[in-house]
Amino acid sequence: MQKINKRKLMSGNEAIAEAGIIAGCKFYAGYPITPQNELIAYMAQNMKKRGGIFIQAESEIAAVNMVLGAAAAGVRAMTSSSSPGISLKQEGISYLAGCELPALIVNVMRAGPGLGDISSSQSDYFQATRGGGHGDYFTPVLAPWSVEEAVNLVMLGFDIADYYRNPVMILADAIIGQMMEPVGSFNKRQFRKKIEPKDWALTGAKGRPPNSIKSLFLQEGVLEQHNKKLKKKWDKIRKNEQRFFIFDTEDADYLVVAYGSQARISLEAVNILRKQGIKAGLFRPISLWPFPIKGLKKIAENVKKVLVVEQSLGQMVEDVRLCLPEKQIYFLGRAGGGVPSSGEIVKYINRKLL
Amino acid sequence: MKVKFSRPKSLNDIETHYCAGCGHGILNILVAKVVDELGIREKTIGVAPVGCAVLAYKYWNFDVSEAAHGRALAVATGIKRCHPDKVVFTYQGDGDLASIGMAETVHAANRGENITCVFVNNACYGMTGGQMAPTTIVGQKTITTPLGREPESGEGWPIRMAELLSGLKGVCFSVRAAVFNPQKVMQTYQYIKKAFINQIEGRGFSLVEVLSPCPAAWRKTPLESMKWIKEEMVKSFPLGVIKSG
Amino acid sequence: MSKQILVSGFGGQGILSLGRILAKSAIVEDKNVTWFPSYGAEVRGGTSHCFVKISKEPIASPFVEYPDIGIILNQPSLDRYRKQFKKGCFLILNSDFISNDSVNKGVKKISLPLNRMALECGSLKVTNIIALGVLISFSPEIIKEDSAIQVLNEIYRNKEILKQNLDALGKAKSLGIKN
Repeated sequence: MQKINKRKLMSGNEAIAEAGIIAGCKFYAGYPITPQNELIAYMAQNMKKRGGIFIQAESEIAAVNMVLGAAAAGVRAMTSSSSPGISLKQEGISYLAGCELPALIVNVMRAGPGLGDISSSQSDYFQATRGGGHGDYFTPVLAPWSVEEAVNLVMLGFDIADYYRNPVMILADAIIGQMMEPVGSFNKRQFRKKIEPKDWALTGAKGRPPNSIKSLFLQEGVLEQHNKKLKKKWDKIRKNEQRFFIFDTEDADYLVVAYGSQARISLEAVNILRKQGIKAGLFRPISLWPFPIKGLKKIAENVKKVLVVEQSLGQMVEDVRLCLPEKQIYFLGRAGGGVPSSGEIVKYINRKLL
Repeated sequence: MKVKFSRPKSLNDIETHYCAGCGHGILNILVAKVVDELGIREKTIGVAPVGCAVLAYKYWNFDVSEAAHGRALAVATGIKRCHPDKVVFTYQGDGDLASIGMAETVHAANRGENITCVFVNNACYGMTGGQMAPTTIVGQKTITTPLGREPESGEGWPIRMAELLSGLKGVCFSVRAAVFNPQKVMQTYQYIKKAFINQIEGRGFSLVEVLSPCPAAWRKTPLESMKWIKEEMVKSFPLGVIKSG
Repeated sequence: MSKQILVSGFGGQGILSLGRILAKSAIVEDKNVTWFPSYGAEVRGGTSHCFVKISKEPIASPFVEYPDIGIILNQPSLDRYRKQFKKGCFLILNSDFISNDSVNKGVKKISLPLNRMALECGSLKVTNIIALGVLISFSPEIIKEDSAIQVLNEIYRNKEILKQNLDALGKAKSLGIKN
């Protein structure tokens, strides 16, 4: 008899759902859309059984606003969708940010614009990292590159959301959502900061003055004060929550910058290039907002050239250019569901960078 | 001396922003009185709409959440599901509930959410200056129907929400009231109270539609406005209990 | 050792589930694995494929450009991927659904009537497991028969269905089909 292996084969979508439940998410509302249907199905099968609430909402808009209600009620809440649905959720995300409510929004990206295609894409980078909805706000964005990391980032995402009282987005692409990999542990990770009790939540004004949740500030100057308060929060997040991963960068002449699934493919390319004797390395932003500026500046200091690989026609590359104005930045991207292969990346570096 | 009337505990002692003759003043008080009478102030959570009642959280002395335009019943769904022991209600206008929030309204009602919905129908968009609402009556002049609402020219007919929702299984109570005289105000109060009691008893979704004056947008005096409800508006929106059980 | 496997056929032939059984078997053996499917609009009758990578080392990309192994259950799948099967690749082909089985030079292939073999085990639904048995007979280094048996036992609680699957898994061996 072989020993029972504890690792479980799960898709990114399922693992994100399970991680949410383990992280203490007690409220999920969603709407069907490919390629994230396994996530809503997993929630439907598990939330009620395990003491949570599951609602299949009438729309993405309703789903995110139900999540806003649950968050206002002081409960850990999440919703998920894919690109066209995330466009619809932007209203709610803006209100969450304005009302300073914590919630987790998962975007399993597909190709656009418009209805586009159900195939994988990374073309919502701009939308995710620049707030996305109306008004002066940001949402921290975490991009997993494996099923295992998706678990960690969901747990971290809930903690960041609660700590800063702000919505957090998990930006996965369809490859991460659909791919299955072994997941070792769902143990709850400990956040390094203390999360305060939610004494602002709507629970009935028993023995305390009433609480109100709002983003409306009509009197002159009051909204600006609110905006400035939020700005302090963004600055704090920018300072504290930059995350990245590096591979073979110590002596690298050529640095590939990629996130999510494209970082996996780029890693394969780096491995091939190393075998060819080319000193390539990988820099992978884990937090897309805040963009890991400090890390990238330091890691890229001694590299000769930088290649950004994305499953889009060039979005994150703009942040890389802002971050590294002195460097020569190259870009390789595919759109509309096309995926750059590791072979293409290797060829591109050999032809254009060397 | 015996006190016969006083400010409800659930209503804050501050000036409201409502225009003279506006029905929101009356309805804010009615809701507060019901909450007081049922002794539920400490477990009531209101959801305010986008529209003239957007500032209701300032006037009520209990927990209140804002909601995006039309999404009050989605927000209320989230709150009520998380706190089934609390009393959750929405307070919405006609643009909010019957136009931009039609989907949220119909589906919350259809799911039979155990929520009370107070729907203030003033036949126009008051806050933005008096445009056509889904409930604007035929022939009614508004900023966006300068010739009067003409259903045949593509402007549609007034939507009767109380009738529309009464056809859904999840709805236990659907009524239409008005506040054009003291008697009707008291009846409205009774309907709102019943709608709250329904929730406390776990009966499902209750709707109280209230025909309410908007003198500013209607370009009428407060008195003319009350008369117009009584004589004109009720023809399109008959008063009474449409569903109860 | 790192093996890149492509499984492809009609939707409904158990393509994705064969990939998952391979992946789960790899986990039983403490190996790393990635499984990546075609997804969405493909339902029964459409084409369906998945990539499985199995390795003792961490796996970078889940994509497979030039497979080491191809399990191809219908003609459209072979036509679509023919060029990607290079020298050294090993193909298991379903001759019941593939008439033109020409492939690149240096590609090793075995054509078997997988549908008929499955019917002999009691159900067309185990066509994929017949193919798995063939794979294990030829390349036991990818996954061991014991691992697959353990996984099938975990998946199928219904005794009759389990038996059909176990029969299907052993079919290749019982016919003496091996490298």
